[in-house]
Formats: sequence, structure tokens, C-alpha cells
Amino acid sequence: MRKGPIGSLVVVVALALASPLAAATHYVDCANGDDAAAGVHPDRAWASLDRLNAIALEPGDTILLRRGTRCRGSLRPSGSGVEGAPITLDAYGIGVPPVIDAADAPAAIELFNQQYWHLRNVETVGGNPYGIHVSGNLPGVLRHFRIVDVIVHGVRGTVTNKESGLIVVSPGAAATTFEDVIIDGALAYDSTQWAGILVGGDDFGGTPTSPRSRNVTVRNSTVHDVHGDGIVLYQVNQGVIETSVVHDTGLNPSPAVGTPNGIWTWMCGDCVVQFNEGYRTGSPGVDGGVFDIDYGCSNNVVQYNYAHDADAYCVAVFGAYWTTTDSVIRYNVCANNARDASKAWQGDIYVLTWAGGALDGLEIYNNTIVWSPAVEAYAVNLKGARLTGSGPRRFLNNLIFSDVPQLIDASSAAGMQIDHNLYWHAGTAAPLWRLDAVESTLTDWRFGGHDANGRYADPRLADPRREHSAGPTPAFAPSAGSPAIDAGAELGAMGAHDFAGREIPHGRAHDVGALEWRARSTPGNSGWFRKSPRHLRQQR
Amino acid sequence: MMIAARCLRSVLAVAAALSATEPVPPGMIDAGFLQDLDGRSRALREPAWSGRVLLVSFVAIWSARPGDRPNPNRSQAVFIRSIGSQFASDGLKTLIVGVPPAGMTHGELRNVGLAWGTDVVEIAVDPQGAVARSHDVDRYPTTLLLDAADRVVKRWEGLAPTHELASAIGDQLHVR
Repeated sequence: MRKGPIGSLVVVVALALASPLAAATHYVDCANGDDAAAGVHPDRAWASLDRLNAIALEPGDTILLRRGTRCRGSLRPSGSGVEGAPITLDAYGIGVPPVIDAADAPAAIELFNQQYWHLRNVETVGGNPYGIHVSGNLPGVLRHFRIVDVIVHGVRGTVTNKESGLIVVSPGAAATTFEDVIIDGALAYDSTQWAGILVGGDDFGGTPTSPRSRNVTVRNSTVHDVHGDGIVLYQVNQGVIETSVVHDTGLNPSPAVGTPNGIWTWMCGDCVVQFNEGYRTGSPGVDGGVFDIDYGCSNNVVQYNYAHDADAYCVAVFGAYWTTTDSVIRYNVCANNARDASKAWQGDIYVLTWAGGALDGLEIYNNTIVWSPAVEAYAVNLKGARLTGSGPRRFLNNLIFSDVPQLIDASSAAGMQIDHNLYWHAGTAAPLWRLDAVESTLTDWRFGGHDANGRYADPRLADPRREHSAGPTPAFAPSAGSPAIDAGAELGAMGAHDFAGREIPHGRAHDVGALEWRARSTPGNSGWFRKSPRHLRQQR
Repeated sequence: MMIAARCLRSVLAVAAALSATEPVPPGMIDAGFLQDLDGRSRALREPAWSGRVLLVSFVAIWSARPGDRPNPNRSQAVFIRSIGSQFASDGLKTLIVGVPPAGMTHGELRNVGLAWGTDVVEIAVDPQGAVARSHDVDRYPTTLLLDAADRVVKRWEGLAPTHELASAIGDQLHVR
């Protein structure tokens, strides 16, 4: 049915009545603005964050800070957006992002009991104990946050707890949770407080049944030079940390607050850590590793990551107080870790339970470990784990290339299927496997029920230590004739590709290790995200 | 007629001179021009980048809603920055070349580049994608490693993982 003029008018009036108030844009120019101005145009911009903090923002509103300027104080805006009409903080003009200089204020940007917010293109310096702090204390869910292309640094003060740091999204009361949080493109560095990026779902006292935040992603972010952890998800379901880099973490001189890691999940359900790089992670005590599935987690996957030159381990899985379930560690490359002699005993793969905790479901497969610790220690440390339940227990298809004789300690890993692994000690001493607290030979190891299909042989990696590589094969990949080729077990649901993004299996069977052999492997295509964006395809 | 012939000879002479000054052997970088974030014209063969080990990554700048889905180009910029911070002291130069969508102003490009961090890597823009095309780049990101003789010694199409970049760079710089 066609509408006549009157019908159209009715529609227009009805739409107008149904629409919210027109969204406003507020301009702030901390160099040349005037708080007495209208603030609605770049030429009539306000001059201070205090002026912004004094108004009530409405859904769809936008705050724009002028690029190249420095605003002193804290941004503590009021108001929330709604679905489809978030409130946005962004920058205007051309040049370097605007800086919010918080000095010793509690935070440079603070949102409290607010939701539907976008924060983009700003730099913050200072804050004690936070740079950007998103929090709340009301029962219920705070939804939809985007923190994109921000630079956060210079957070100061003496760290007193783990709920502090550069970008902290964490509730102030146990009944508050967050949902739909994306932090993308954050550069967070230089903090004497704890975390680089923390997204939490409880007031740091939760149990596995406590309320959790949901749908949290941290990607494309870099964290370095922080006193505590790099990137952490705590009490979160459906969390992802990907394509991010952490280094020089754990600089706190005292372990009083805790012992940090680079990237880890804690009380996390259905969480994935993938495509990340971590190096020079440290700790004032134990830990100091790069990746970790910590206690209270369920169905977590750590895959396709690169951990190198860390003070301590590559990946850990922990169980304490409760049972950590269904952990998967696969297709990671671990190289040259355990640089700190006091931490090398933890190994490169470290599995531990304590305080009545246990692990139900633990799969560690197709990882490549190049082990050259500061002092002799086992590359794989499974000796302190209590395994329980009916979940799979597998340590399969892993490649261990070691400069020291100690290869794997599985003294208390009862019921663990350990097979199809490839071991090699690049030295003259006899290689060691440890079983029931006794150092043994491969024969004894096999007699103990392990690695019937495993091998002790030079894996012929192209370049395990980035030396002597004149050929086209990438480091850590097997070269032609390697005993790793087609020697792995088929586990089912192993994922579609290897560490380098290339389809698996290639050949008759899966290879051992994180990289599948190719006759021509590089210069090549990583296999990750090959398609050009549409606008560039159309140019051709 | 003679004037026309003289003009043609002049044109041919200029063309010959230009081609003589721009010989680009196979596998080597060409002289295509980029813009830096200040709008200055730059060339891959200029002394700042030529004659040293250079990691150059062509990344697409496109206008997907920021943060709502993975963007391998943004990821590549993060990885290049990581590599730059690890190998700068060994002499590595790192360059991210952004190829923008049509209609994006230089100011907007400058803002994007600055948001990606210029403290460790250099960022330039290939406004028409011409330099990218001259290197047969038709997928983004594509990353090239050039040796000190300006030869392309490694090429990655798709997101180049840091372990491969580090390995190849280590070979070129003779560092572990």
C-alpha cells in the first residue's frame, strides 16, 4: 500500500516523537579553550576537564579533546549511553593524541557505575593507582565498553593490591560484573602499580560460583615495564586475549602483593589466549612466566603463542582450592626461557596444584620447546600436579630440544598419557627423564608406560637458536628428514592450523611440535588473514 | 616538422636519463615515493632506509569500526613495533607503510599513524598504493625484509608472526 502525504507526515511525526534528544558534541581545548564558552564547536571549546565533569552526558553524546593539547586533572564524566547510542570520548583536529595528565589523582579517566562508553584516541599519564579505571558497586551488569587506540602510562604509587595498574576494568563490589568489553590497540607502559591491563568480574574474593563478567576481549595491545602482571582476565567467562605483546613485566621489588606473570587467566571460563608474544617477564618471587591458566579456570585454551627470553616458564597450568578443568596448551613455541637461575626449576611447561586443588582435563600437545635454562632444570615439570576426574590427560606430540640433560619430570602425573613426544639433548651428557622421583633412561621411561611411540632423536630444526640459518625455513620448524615429520598422534579437534597458520595435517599424519613441515615453507604465507580488505581489492 | 622531431628527441632523452638513473634490478626495492606523517615525500631508497637491514610492512588502513573485530593489519603494526623494540639496538630499521582507503585525508592518516605509535617504528603512507603494487603486494598485511644491499630477502603475506620475523632478522644482523 502506498502512503499519501498525510500518511508520510504521520510517520515522520511519530519517528520524531520516538527519537531521543539530539546527541550533543562537546569540545575541549585545554590550550586555548574557555570554560565560559558554549563548548559546542571547536572555536568555542571548553578549557578544562572540570567543565566536562560538571555536565550530565546523554546517550549518543560525544566528547572531543583537541589533539596536541594537555589537560591536567581527571576525566570523571557522568552519564551512560544506551544500546546503539554509546557516549564517546575521542579526539579532534590533527596531530598527536590529546593527553590527560592526572598527576597524583586516583585515575586519569574514571567511569563508575556507568555503561555504553567508547574511549578512543587519548593518551593518559599519571594516576595513582589507576590510569584508566572502569568500576562500579551496584548489583547488576555494566555493559558495552570500547577502549581503543589509547596510550596509558606513568601510573605511580606503591602497589598494595592486584586491583591496580594502567587499564583496570574491575568492580568495587562482588555483585557488579561487566559484559561486552573490548580493549583494542592499547599501549600501556611504565607503572609502579600492578597490572598493565586487568579485566575482572569480582571484587577479588570470588569462588567458581561468584558472578563473572562476560564477553571480554583484549587484542592488539602492548604492555611493558609494569611492576605486576601484563594482561589478566579474572572472574570472566568468554574471554579472549590475542595478538598482543607483553615484556618487562613483574618489576615489583617485593613479592608481598603476589608473584606476577605476563598474560594469564584466573577463574576464567571458556577463555582463549592466542597469537601473543611475551618476553622478559619476571617476578620478585616464584612465577615470572609468560602464560598461565590459573586456578578456578574451566575450558581455557592457550595456543599459537610465542614465549621467549622470559625469566621463568613459558606456560603454566595451576589448580588450587578448586579443580581447574579442561585446560589445553597447544601449538606454542617456547624458546630460551628460564633466564633467571632462581626460577628455572619451574621448567618451561609447569603444572602444579596446591591447597587441595586439582586438575581435571589437561591436554598439552604440539608445543615446541627450545630449552636452555640459566641452570640445569627439567624442561617439563609435571611432578607437582594432582590429576582427578574423567577429563583427558595428555602430553602428546611435543618437541623438546634441550641444552641440558633434564627433559621431563612426570613423577606424580599418574594417569597422564605421555606419548609421541620427540626429545633431544644437544650435549654430551646422558639425557634424563624423571619418573617416580628417580632419574631414568629412555628405556626406564618407556618401561614406566610412557612414550611407546616417542623418540629420542635430533629433531633437525631449521634454527632452534636462530643460528646457522641460511635457508628459507623458519626457525623452530623441522627441516627435511626430521623425525618430527608425520610422527604425531591424531587427537581429534586439534584445530585447523599450526603455529604459523598453515593447514594441518600436511602429509600422512600430524608432525610433532608446533610447526608442520613443508617442503617450501617460506618466504611464504603465514596463512593468517590472507584476504585484502574490500576497498583495496576494488582498486585493482 | 623539425621542431616536432627535436621535441620528441628531447622527450626521449629525458626518458632515457630517467630510466638510467632509476635502474631497479630484480628483487630490489624501487624508487616509489611515500609520504611521512608530516607530509614530506620519502623514498624507500633514500639513505634513512636504504643500505641497512630494513623491515617494511605494508598494512591496509581501513575503516572497519575500531575494536569490533580482529584487524590483522592492526595486529601486524603491534608485532612490527615489538620487533623494532627488540632489534633497534642491533641496527634494524622498521617501517610501517599504511595504504589508505580512497578519500582519506592526510590529516586522518597522520592521526591513525600517531595512534599506532611512532616511538619505535617509523610510519609512512602510500597514498595510492603505488609502492605496494610495485612490490606485488596484493594482500595486506605483507611484510618485506631487505638486506643492507636493498634486496628483498624475506617476504610474508598475511600476518607475519614475531618468531619468524625475529629469526630472519637475526640472520641478517648476525645476532642471536
